Amino acid sequence: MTNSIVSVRGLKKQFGRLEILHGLDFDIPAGRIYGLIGHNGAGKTTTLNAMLGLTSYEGSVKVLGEDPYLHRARLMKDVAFISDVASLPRFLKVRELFAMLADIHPNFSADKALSFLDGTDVKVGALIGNLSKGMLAQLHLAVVLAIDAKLLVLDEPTLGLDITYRKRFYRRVLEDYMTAERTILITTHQVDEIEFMLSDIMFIRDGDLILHMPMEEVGQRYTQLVAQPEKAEAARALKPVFAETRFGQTVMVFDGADRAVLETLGTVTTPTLSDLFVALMSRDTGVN
Amino acid sequence: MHTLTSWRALFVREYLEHRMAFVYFPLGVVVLLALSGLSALGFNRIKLIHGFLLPDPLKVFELGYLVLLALWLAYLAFALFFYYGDAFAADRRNNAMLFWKSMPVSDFKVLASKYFAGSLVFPAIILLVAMVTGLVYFAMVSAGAYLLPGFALVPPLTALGSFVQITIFGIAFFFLALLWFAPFLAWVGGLSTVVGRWSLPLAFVIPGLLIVIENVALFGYVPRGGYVWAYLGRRMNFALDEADFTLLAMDPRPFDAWRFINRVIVDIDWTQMAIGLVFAALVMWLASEYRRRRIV
Repeated sequence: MTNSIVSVRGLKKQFGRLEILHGLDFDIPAGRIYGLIGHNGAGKTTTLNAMLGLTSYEGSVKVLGEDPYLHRARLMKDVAFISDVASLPRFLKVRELFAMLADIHPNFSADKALSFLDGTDVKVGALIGNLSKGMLAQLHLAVVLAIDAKLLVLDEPTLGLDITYRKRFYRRVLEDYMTAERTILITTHQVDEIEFMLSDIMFIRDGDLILHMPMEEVGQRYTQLVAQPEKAEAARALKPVFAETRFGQTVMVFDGADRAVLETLGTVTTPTLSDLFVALMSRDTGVN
Repeated sequence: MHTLTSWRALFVREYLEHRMAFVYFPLGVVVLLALSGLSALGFNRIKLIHGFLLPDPLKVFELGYLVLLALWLAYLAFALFFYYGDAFAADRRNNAMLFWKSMPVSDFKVLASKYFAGSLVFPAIILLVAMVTGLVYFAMVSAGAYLLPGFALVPPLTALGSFVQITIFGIAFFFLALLWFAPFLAWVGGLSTVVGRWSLPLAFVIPGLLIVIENVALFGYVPRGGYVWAYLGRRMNFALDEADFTLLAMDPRPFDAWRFINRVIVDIDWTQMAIGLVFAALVMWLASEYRRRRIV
């Protein structure tokens, strides 16, 4: 794709003899909000680290046309990321951090960062080491949103935060997306909380990309059926990708099945992202 | 322009992180010195030790200021050793590595900023503190001259001349000493990048092991202590010699910076200086390549 922000071909990564990524291929076009979802240890963070130039790899990775491992420093002018909200330098005051970033980052705006902190409990005179985890997340988000970056990467940005902070965090990200020309890539385990804002989804399982599509196609391709008890066997014959019993009801997820046929067998809905995640991640055992 | 501001930011960051050792503590020492001097004068606790000839007050000031400079240089050496052993691993220890990696600065530039902060910025601060200490000391000598009979006041312009000369010598000596010891500082910093604060003992343990291995492997058929020991012994030696100290104390003329700078320059092995600087640059580059591969 010519307008790809990220282009990955045959991405492999080994730690010792253990291969973590088995040759990923994907493109991320400009102006989209991508969700990269996977189990712990599936390879999400390793994929992001390769894209951010934080780790070596086999294969080809181009971010904004650059090899991230060779040109990380140059790339970071146009890429902002949060990998760990606890990584802000704790010996600085918020004001000192902004002044330093204004010097060090050509695309950082201290005024913009200050405006993002309006309405939060973070004070500019506060020592970063004294901030709570929620405040750290808000501050780190203010920092990355104040960078005029083409790509924003958020790796588990709300890990350990309560629901109020999480919702506020993602609302801020979305508001910023609406006003700036950005591409956003998010990984999180709380898939339900980001589903509303995603334009595209990628599922990664054991180092392989098992799903990569726009969200509107997910609804067209995958169907969830709560089968009537007497028609459960008939539904099973249509080869669902996943089936389980919930509170006495048989719930199945189908890939590419005819909705009209399924509607004769029970209640048909579009699976939520978390339902689809469970279905595809436990595909081997789910049907059984 | 942005390159300059990013260097400034990195130096400011080092300053903010380590100002306790290089600003607050030294200034505290100066304040203590000034207070103790004031109390001595205020409570008239000054007396001359009988048996000594009454010295020339200018010489008292010059030698005192030189001793203060030497003490501050010793403090700087001590503080820099711990700085290089700590600062190069600080981002890992503080869990801030990923934050700094998200900035548009290379790992080499980050480490270089730490190196130059240690060999330029902090020594400059300590030199300023040493100058302030010299002025405080001059005030104390002047007050002593005023209070003690037979101890003449140093004319301010003469004292200022000596102060400037000694300060120039101090700047030159600090600068040359830091160049000479650059490979050792880089060695501690490079080790710190890999093993954190363990670099502090390892900076000595590793050469010590090399010396033992050399002596054992060559069955003692080496000069006393071995070649490594002899080399490192020469490498750790950087100072004026005894004759210079005698000259400093006995020469009745005011201190002449250029004469002593010249003596220091003549004594330097410039080939070793160049080899040391290349070694320091190589260690910094290797350390940056190691850091490039680390995210925690």
